[in-house]
Amino acid sequence: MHKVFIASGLLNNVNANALKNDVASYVAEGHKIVRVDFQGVTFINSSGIGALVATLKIVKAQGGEIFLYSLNPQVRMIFELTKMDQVFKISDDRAELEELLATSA
Amino acid sequence: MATFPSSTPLVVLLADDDRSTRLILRMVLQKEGYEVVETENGALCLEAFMNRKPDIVILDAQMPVMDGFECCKRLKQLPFGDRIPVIMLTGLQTPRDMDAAFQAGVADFVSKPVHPPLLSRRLHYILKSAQSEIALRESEERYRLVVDNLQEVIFQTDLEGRFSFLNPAWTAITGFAQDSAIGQPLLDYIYPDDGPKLAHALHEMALSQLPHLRTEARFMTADGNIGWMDLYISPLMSREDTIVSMSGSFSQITERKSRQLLDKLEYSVVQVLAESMTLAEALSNLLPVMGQAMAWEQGELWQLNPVSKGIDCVEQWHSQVGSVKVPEPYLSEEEAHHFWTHGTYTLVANLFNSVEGAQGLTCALTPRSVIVIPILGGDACLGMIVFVPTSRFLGDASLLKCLDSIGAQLNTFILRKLAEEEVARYHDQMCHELRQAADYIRALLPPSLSGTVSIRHLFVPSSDLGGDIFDYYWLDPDHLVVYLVDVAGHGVQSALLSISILNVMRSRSLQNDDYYVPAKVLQALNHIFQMDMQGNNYFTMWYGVYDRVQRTLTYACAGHPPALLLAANGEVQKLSTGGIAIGLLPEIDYEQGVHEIGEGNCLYLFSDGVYEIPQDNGQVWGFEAFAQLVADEPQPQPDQLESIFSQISHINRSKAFEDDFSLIQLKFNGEESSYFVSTEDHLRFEQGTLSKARS
Repeated sequence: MHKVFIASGLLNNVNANALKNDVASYVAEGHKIVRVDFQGVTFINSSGIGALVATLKIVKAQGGEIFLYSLNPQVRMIFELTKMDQVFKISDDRAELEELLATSA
Repeated sequence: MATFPSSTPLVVLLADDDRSTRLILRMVLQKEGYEVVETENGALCLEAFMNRKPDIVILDAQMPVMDGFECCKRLKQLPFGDRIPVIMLTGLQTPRDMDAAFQAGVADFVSKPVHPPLLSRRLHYILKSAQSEIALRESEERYRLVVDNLQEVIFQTDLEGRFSFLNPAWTAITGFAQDSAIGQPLLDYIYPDDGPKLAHALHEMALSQLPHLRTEARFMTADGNIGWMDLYISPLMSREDTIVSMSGSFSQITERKSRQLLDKLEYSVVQVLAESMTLAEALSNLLPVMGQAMAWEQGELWQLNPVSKGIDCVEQWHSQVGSVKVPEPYLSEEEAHHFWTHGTYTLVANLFNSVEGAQGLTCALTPRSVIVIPILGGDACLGMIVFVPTSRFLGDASLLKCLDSIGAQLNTFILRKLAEEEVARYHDQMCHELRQAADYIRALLPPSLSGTVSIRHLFVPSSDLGGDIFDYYWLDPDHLVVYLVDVAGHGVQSALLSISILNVMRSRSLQNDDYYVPAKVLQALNHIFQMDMQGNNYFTMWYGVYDRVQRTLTYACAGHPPALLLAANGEVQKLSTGGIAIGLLPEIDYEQGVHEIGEGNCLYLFSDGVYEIPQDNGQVWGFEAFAQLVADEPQPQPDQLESIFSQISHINRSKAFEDDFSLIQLKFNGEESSYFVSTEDHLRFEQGTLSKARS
């Protein structure tokens, strides 16, 4: 089973930066695919978005990809309004993500 | 008949050298139910006494080897010998013989020859009285044992309250000898402050003929300490219903009382510290609270004077409550002046160094003891609290320990207050800076416009500044630019970035220098501003250019919420293009859209602060709800923005907004009839351009 990062609650600069640090050490070990479960995320503020993009940059710099899945409607709305859905790969759920990864591999 | 309450027969020890007398007596006594032990002389009788433990002894006065007198005398020396009655059989009862016999301890005489019924009655009578004497003695012994071993003091006094009886518990509790206290008044041993109260109560008891008095009082002990007693006294009445004496008891409750007292003291101190906002308030409240809790007489607050390096008495407290004796000052004014005014800082420092926490301290100039609690803030000596206990210093270890703990709590309180004041100062400074920054940003915002396009705005910065900024102006007589920026994060840092964006825009220092092309503007800004690795310092932006001649609005959007365009018929368009916020990622290609503007169209431009309102259900109010609210507003009205704000403020439960609230309204007025298009044409046209803009 692949490692899954779980984000939860209000995603602000504190916990999004914690996620960033976790992901950074993960990709530093040579992992290319980063999966983030967003099911528990209730809201994401601007600082959270900034930290999430910083995470994306780290993963891309290592030649990796970051995938988010199971966003609740409110969070998905924020992603749409801020156009973040254009830079992150977002899946409805884990199954859809794994299917996507399997076909692209 | 031997009719005593005994399951075994009573034993009679008989000593007579005359065999026939022994025979007769045995027959008589056995018939009466006694068991008879016979011996021939006094010496053998003593031996038998040891072995048989008889209930009564009958001795012949004249016997060989040892006569009855000698035998009786020796018998009384034996264990229990003094409790066993002896009857002597005599031939002649001369006064001299009788005197010798009584001296030897004989209880009665029976003449020889023996008259059996008489002997029987005598035996019966003597045994009975001996038995009751033993019973009485035993009961007395039991009683004394109980009284002597009681933990409670049992006492009796005369009418004047002088002790006439005390049990050994008295010495155990007070340390005073029983003998020395007998004849002394009870009140002499009562703590001076409690004496008058108790005397009054005793007087009341006698006067009102109360059956008893129960009270708690302090007493003095031989080693100079003070204890607490739970006292019970009742009067002993004569037949004429007058008090002849008093009896009573008391038990020691010192430990319980002092624990109660110290608990109360500590609790009240904690309460004062918890409720006091400042050190000065705490210190001035501590004086009466501690003084009253301990029933002390006087308290003073001394504080270090940083100028004179001496310590000044800044506050005084005196007990006034129901005090029986007039409190005498522990230092005369002159003495106090001498002692404290000339007490240098060094003296105080020495005092602090010499005491660990609190300590009883005897002033050099007064015989009275005082209690000193140093006021320490960390290592700094700030002053001291001085208490004068009533009458004499209650110098027990538990009190000092308690005062130690109070001193430590005071110290913690002072350090906490100092830290709080520091934080409050810092916070005030921050708030001040934020207010200044907010005022500055407000001053930078453009005034309302009127004419072809009338523009109004409403800007309410959040208390910690949300980083919103916006501007609008005519680039040339035909082109109006309007934009709104929302910097991520809060505080002065965000505000500074928003101001620098405004400066870049106003100075027209962008490389590309094409302020007519929104996508290029965003791209240029994205080139300049890239966020740090913390994910801070990026911003969303909506930028539009209105062409007055073409009646078109060209716009681009960087991660910013769509602007809302309201047609005259109430239809709402969301104007947005793709592209994420500026500063997040380099090399973003921004798109732009174009929209026809009809007469009476109204454009609303805003930041997410107007709709990201937390709701009680954990959801956020949201963009769609905001769009609906704007669409439902009756158009047009002069104070449209205020109306929208007040409705959202209501949704926010009238709390302060968490983010900046920025709302700009542009009204496109018709000026040249040639540009007028019918509503239907306009709608068709609009939908066409919208789909074009989206693609």
